Amino acid sequence: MRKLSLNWDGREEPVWAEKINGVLWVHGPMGTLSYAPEKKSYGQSQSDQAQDEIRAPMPGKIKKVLFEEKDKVPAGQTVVVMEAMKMEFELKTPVAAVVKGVQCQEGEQVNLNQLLVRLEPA
Amino acid sequence: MMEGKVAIANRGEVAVRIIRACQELGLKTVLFHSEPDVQTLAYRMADETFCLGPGPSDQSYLHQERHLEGLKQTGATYLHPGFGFLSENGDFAEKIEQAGFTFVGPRPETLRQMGDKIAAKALIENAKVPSVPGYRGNDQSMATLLKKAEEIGFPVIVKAAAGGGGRGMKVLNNSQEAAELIESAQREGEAAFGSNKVFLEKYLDRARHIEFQVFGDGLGGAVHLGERDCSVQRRHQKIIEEAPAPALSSSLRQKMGEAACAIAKACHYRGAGTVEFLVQDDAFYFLEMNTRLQVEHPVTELVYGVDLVKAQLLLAMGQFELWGELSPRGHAVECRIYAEDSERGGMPSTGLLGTLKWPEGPGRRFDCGFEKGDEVTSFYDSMIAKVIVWDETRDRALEKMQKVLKESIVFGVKTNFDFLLQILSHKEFREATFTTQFLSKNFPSGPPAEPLTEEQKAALAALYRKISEPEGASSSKFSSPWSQGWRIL
Repeated sequence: MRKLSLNWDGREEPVWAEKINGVLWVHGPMGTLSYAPEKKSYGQSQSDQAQDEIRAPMPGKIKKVLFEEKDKVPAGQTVVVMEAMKMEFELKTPVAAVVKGVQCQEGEQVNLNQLLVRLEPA
Repeated sequence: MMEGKVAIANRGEVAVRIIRACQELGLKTVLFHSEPDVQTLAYRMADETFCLGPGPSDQSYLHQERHLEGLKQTGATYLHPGFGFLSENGDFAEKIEQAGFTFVGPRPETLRQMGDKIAAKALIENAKVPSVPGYRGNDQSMATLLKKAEEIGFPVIVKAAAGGGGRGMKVLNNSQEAAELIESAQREGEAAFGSNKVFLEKYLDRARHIEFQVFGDGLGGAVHLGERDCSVQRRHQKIIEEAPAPALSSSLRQKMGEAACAIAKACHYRGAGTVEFLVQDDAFYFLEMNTRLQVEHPVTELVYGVDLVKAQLLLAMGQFELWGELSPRGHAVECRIYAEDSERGGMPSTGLLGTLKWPEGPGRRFDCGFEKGDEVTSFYDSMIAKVIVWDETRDRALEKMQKVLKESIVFGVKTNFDFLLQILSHKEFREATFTTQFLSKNFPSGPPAEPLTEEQKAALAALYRKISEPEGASSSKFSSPWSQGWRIL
């Protein structure tokens, strides 16, 4: 960890900074931030989520896949139920869509960002 | 100094907490751990270690036979289960005791009685303690569950019968979504506790969650150590707890304390336990009894000046006497630090930990199970640390907590520090008018996302380039006199 200075909203702020596995971590008056070139940085909203696929937002286990290929799915419907850290998370359709392909199986352990379901926006 | 060897069948911060108590009492420790947990502080602190098995809990922390093998192999005579995992499993405790070891916790029959929420409610009704209307029957068909939910009237909460800690709990707001949520609760119950049995009850929508710490000597004697307010919850997972409860009338406090003691005495309770209540409109309802040490036990320890883990160990060794006079002093607050992306609904965040820095000082306590270089994996609960502060008044304790959270550093995984700070500065929290609905009402999708501006991204990119250069290689603004013509040979 190094003490450096960061130009934040027009002011030079003293920050603690450290690079871990290619990601910059910063702590200072602005709180804690992480940053990596080209990768999504802290504070990105879900609105820029792809509309034609569902990917694993975390490493974990597939608990349930609720639709099959060719099924029509309304927007905001749960398609995949995942479990990580003893919690269930529901992955929903970003928009109304038709399932083009299911790329995961119930019980499977998946990695971060792994493609789970391909969709065709209706 | 005492003699004996204690097996710690847990992980993370609570394993560290128990190891420290054992060390202070002069007891030897052996940590029962999973394969990935060799990269944790508890592993480095224990006198001995025993590997239970691979990462997934059912192959390690929930594997009962491996625990028995561990006790036999290491010569430990006591087993402290911590919380979660097997801590409330009556069959497990019985196996331990039948094999001649001591389970640091309540008797197996107490665990079974209180663990089966249905049997627990029967005991509570006998003790004339009020509980929430609901359905606890054995007919678990979906048709019956849906019909009962309608009868109780929405909102209704569905819970895993063997559950606790927020796992397998869902709120049903209407009949349309009921079936899907009940199924989900059944699956979570099956995965976490090996039972898909659920029960339903009326969901109190403006209640506070207030629980009483009890401690029994196992012979029918029991005392309570006051209450904790744990109303700040998300998906029934507690985030901030405090003691004493800030808006509880003294008459209600007395009645609830008496009810908690009556329950502990009725089952000849042995050791530390927590009686949870919901309080709404000046009435209180029994929720459940947690037959173990509680995550938020430190706030009670700070206001009462006791060490609950040492008390558990001393009781197990037959060297404990119940406290006589007990009175609280000042105010304590605990914040749970979760490895999560709060802005994305608390999505777990995993990874290699960098620097962890806790701003130590009077009245500040940091319970953490990780050090720099350790990895947060997706196998277990996302709570990585607890920050607890004490001060003479609630206001001062809250000021201190804000200061401490701002100065704490956790690098490598995303955490909920910012979210905690937003909660602490919220008017309803400051004025203590909050209910269990506080978070879903005020932060329905977590804290608001704050996307970085282009300027901020550019500044971070510049800092990224700078930190990527080797240290000292960047052109320094000042020149050191030592750098002119001198070098270390």
